[in-house]
Amino acid sequence: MWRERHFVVIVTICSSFALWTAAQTNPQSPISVAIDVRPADLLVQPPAVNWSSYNGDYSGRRFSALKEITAQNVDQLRAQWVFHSSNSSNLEATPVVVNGVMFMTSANEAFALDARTGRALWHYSRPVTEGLVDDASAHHNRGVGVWHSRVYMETDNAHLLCLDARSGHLIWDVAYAEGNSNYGATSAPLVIKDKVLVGTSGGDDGVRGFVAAFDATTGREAWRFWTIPAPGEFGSSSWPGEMYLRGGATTWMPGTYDSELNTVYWGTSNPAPDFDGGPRPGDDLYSDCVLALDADNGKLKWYFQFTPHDDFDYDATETAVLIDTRYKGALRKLLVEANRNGFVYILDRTNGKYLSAAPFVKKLNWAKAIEDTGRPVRSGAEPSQNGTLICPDMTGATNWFSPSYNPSTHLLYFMALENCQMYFVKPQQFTPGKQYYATGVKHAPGQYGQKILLAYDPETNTFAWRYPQIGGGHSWGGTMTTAGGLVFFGDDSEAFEAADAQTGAPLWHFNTGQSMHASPMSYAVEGKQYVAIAAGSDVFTFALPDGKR
Amino acid sequence: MRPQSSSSTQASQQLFSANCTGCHGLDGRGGEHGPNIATNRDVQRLDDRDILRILRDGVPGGGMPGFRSEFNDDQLNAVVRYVRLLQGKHATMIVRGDQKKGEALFFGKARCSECHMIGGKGGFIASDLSGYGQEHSPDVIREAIIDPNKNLEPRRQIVTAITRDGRKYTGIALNEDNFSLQLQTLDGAFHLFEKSGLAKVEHEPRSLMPSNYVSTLSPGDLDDLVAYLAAATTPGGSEPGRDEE
Ligand code: HEC
Ligand code: HEC
Repeated sequence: MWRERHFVVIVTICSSFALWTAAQTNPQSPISVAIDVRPADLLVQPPAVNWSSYNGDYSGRRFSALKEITAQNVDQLRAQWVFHSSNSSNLEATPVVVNGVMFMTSANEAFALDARTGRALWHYSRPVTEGLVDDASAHHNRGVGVWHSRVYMETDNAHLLCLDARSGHLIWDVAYAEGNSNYGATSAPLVIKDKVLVGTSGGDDGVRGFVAAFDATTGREAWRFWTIPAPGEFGSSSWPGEMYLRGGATTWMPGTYDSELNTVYWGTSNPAPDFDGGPRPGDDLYSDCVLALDADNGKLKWYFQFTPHDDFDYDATETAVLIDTRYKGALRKLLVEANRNGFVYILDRTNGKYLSAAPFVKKLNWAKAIEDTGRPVRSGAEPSQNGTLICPDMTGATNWFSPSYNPSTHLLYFMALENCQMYFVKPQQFTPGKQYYATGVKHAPGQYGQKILLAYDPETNTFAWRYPQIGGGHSWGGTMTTAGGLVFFGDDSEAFEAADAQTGAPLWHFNTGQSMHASPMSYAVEGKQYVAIAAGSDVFTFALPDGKR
Repeated sequence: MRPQSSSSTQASQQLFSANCTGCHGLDGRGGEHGPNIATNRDVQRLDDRDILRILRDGVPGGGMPGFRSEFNDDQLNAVVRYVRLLQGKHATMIVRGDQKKGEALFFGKARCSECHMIGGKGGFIASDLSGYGQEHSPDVIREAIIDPNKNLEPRRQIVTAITRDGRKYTGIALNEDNFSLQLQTLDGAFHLFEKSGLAKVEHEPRSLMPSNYVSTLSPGDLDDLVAYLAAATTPGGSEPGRDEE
């Protein structure tokens, strides 16, 4: 009975195609949808009507081809509806939208919403898990993956759930991180072909990181790549004794994927204990890396380590953005990453070769330069018993909130933070149920965070514009860019904002009244473009009023 | 679990009446100042620990006071038990019937799985009955099967939406408000209506569920189904290991 054309399509039992055309001309027409997202549908780039994964598409560019909303009319944007979560005051998910149905998560809960009205179609919930540590104990969740008529999410205690997209019923539940109670999960799964890829949190808590892939139908494990080598393997010299079981390098953000190269790019977290490098001599592979993994079997093709022997908590879990563009005269397959350590890197993603790096914050004292190999030249600054001033601070010069890349402006947009903190070290034994930082950071006298929205041009390795933010420097809002020539982002004063992608001029804003820990997205229903972002405990959606469209 | 003696049930009922009914109603199904905590599935799904925590600490900012200082631990536990009783849990009853045969009926001849799911298998149009037996006594289960129209919530009735141009959609209303209707038809498709585009919304006061099981199933079949539902739990998912290293 299901019929489909391309991605998603409107299907109805009465009159499938006729209804679709009618719907476009008559705003009151019903929307009839079946959710059936085929693996090939997930290859569509860039996203337009549907935003079918955390980043919209596999490239991580968060570039929407929708262009109804433009620099000329964005000032007319109006709130359409608000979705409220009763169990999370810090929604971190990016909604996924397929065929007018929005999938959203909060703490161990998933919702299917009518994307035009925000009304719930179904709601899956399970109690949050007691007794977790650190990030997992905050029950953060960044959203779903979709495949055919199934929806996948991770739970706070690192289970992968498979739900029926038609009802929210639980089809299967796989506990995928065993053997250490400090594992958790906060990410959105990444669906590739017929597999669902997941990672874990707990990188500051003494776990051994991994990326694992599960058969989307059965939930059976297909492969697992351990991000910390076992004794005897390449890189194991950093992990004496049992340290390989505690060294972190977790995988708490979804990766990106190049289908032509069949390569998944997945970032890893800092090593643990965070601030005490003593127990983990050497480079601490594969912490703070981007890993290039074969999508079919999880075999490592290459890796690039941003911060060898990290003592600063500079996770490399920021999105590895895949950009095909002219670079130094030739068309290249690039990987561009604004890293938490304060440098924005360009790699050749076919082989991991380092091409360039540029510092994007002024407050940067842990490294003096980046060598031609991509390895940093360390300044010698490191955490100490009495405290050392180190920049960027522990939050990082940027973090997991999303960057975005617009192929028309050739610019990468991301939110940067200028700040330093006092870093302290005190050796600590690993204890299950406890964090494993080996102490921490303090506010440094006279240091106040300054957020800056940056527009970086990878082709010239320069910054096209900078938009300094007013605020306390504590926000966690990401970016999204559109073919309408706009950058949408969560600013540093609880407002959702749109700026001109070419110039950075602010064009529209809306006070959400809550701090944002999430990144925006865009979708369309019946030809009408919406933009949405989670702020605090709510999802806000916006569109142009019908008369102005 | 030991069956509760009637005297302790009485004591916990008294605690409930004296402290909770003003807000949640005598039967726990909701009052002026508090929500339904008896038949709401989300509250039924909370485990004892969660309810205990809510009773102890309240819901700050949500209008639910904490009873930490009023009740001792025994009293708190007694109230939790009474809430469970209102929810229909733990009512003692002997379950006759054969679970295995019940399972075969559920997925076979009785065709329950065309609409319901258990353990990750089955349909989508009606509720997932995994764990239903933990929250409902066997006699409640039996009644739900043989008399699906008794106490049917209006939200779960059959709904037909008729568009202005005369198209008809019949199914279950997943959601409805003054301005929109989200309907699911038996093929699983979602139909998202704005009411301005609808000529009419008809609610039929009956369930999609067949109401003739009492005649199409033998008493033995019914026992088997009840036995199966009473024991069915949610799928998979071992707890992650606790400190094995
Ligand atoms: C002053 C009114 C009031 C009283 C008295 C009260 N409650 Fe509540 N209760 C509420 C409100 C309001 C909520 C909803 C809180 C929220 O979630 O925002 C609630 C929530 C609950 C919940 C959780 C429901 C959920 O959705 O998770 C339980 C369980 C509960 N109450 C049990 C009790 C019990 C048992 C008592 C007596 C010991 C009691 N309450 C007394 C007002 C009250
Ligand atoms: C044609 C679809 C259909 C079939 C077949 C069907 N049911 Fe139902 N059933 C429903 C609907 C609809 C409801 C009402 C609410 C809900 O659970 O979605 C319901 C309700 C129930 C409930 C009460 C659930 C609750 O949450 O209160 C039980 C128990 C139940 N059915 C068991 C069965 C069993 C056992 C069978 C097979 C003998 C069966 N049903 C066959 C559609 C069906």
